[in-house]
Amino acid sequence: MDEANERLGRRRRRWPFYLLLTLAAVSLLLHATKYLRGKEIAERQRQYSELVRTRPIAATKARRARFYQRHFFLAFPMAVSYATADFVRRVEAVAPPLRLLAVQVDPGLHDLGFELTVEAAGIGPRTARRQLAVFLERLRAVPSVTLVDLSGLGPTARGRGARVFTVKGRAELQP
Amino acid sequence: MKTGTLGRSLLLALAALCVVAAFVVLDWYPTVKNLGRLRRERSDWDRKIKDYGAMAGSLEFPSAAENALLAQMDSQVLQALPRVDSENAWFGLARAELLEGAKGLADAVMLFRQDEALDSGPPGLRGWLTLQEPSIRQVFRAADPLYGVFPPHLATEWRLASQPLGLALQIPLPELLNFINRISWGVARLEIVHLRLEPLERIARAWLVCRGVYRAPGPSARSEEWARGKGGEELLIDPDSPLLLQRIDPLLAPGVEKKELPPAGTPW
Repeated sequence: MDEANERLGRRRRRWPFYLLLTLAAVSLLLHATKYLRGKEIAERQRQYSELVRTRPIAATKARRARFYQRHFFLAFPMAVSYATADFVRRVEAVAPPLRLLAVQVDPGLHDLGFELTVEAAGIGPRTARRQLAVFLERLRAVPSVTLVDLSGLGPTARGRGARVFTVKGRAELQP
Repeated sequence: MKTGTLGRSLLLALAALCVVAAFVVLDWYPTVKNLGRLRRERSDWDRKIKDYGAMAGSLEFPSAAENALLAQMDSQVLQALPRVDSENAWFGLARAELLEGAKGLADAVMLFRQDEALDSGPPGLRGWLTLQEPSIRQVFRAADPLYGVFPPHLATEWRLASQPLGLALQIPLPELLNFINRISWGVARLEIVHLRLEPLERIARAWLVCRGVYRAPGPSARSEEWARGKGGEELLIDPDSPLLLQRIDPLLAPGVEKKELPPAGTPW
């Protein structure tokens, strides 16, 4: 009987050991899971790097972009000179009965900026305005023209019934 | 005796609770937190791999023919750019080319540099240019910024440089327009920076400022300016353009073509 009591007492005295063992086991389990999850992430990183290496999307797109840039550079001078000359040719064709006094063209990388000075002479202000409206409409119909704006407050009188208008706008390089 | 046992039991229970709390606070909680972070990280990588796979599926990877085309591009650009012995040589090259192009009109064409006086050329043109001089000088100053087509390191490696050139002429309008159209056809590859044209009774007069890109013999102020990345307008490229997903077809890649203007009086 005493021996049994003693064994029971000994077992009861061991509970802190079991408690620590359980706590340590749980810790171990958690750390093992963490380790395995870290390995999984490393594996996915490796997979991703391999994918980027074997199927390089960004590099391919960058190379193609460079190709188109270089190509644009080679074609740019001719595109600009043709677009400029053709634009002046078309404007000159749509200007009458207004008189085209000056054309200014500022080509940019993506389009042309232009400023036209036109004169309406020997007609009344209402006729001049009507002719200008027709001119602006025709100008907007030019295939390459993207923007037309009658700048300033209105016509500048030049004496003897002549009125001068300034028209600004933008046109595409390759219509 | 019983009080002592109860007290000891309570003390032990308290100690056990402290130990459990220490485990929870010092180890389990940070570990569980880390596990959550790692789970999210794993999901992120899974999503990245899936997205990349989907993107790669929509992209046509270069074929051997396309790779060859891409590899040739830089050498094509280098071949297209004039290589000159000195800064002055480029102006000489451009002048000779322009005057040769203006067959029979050489007397009506006047060429000038940024720092040159505008007191030569045909008399009618000279007076007009004197009136236009402030605008011309202003355009010359604005013509210096360079295009952002080449990255600075490549500009240094290739010793790219550019300089402006002015020209004025007074000839019939159709011939003038043809001259403007052909201005870039030569080796000097002149880019028009600004044009002012005034149609008169039977003729038209115009002044232009152009820019030429060339390969300088060595490092110069003009090439260094480019290499520093000083530039005006940048060429915009849409990184999401579907064009970049497709293979460049050598047969469909647009060529650099010399296009004549339609004959005068042609309806459009």
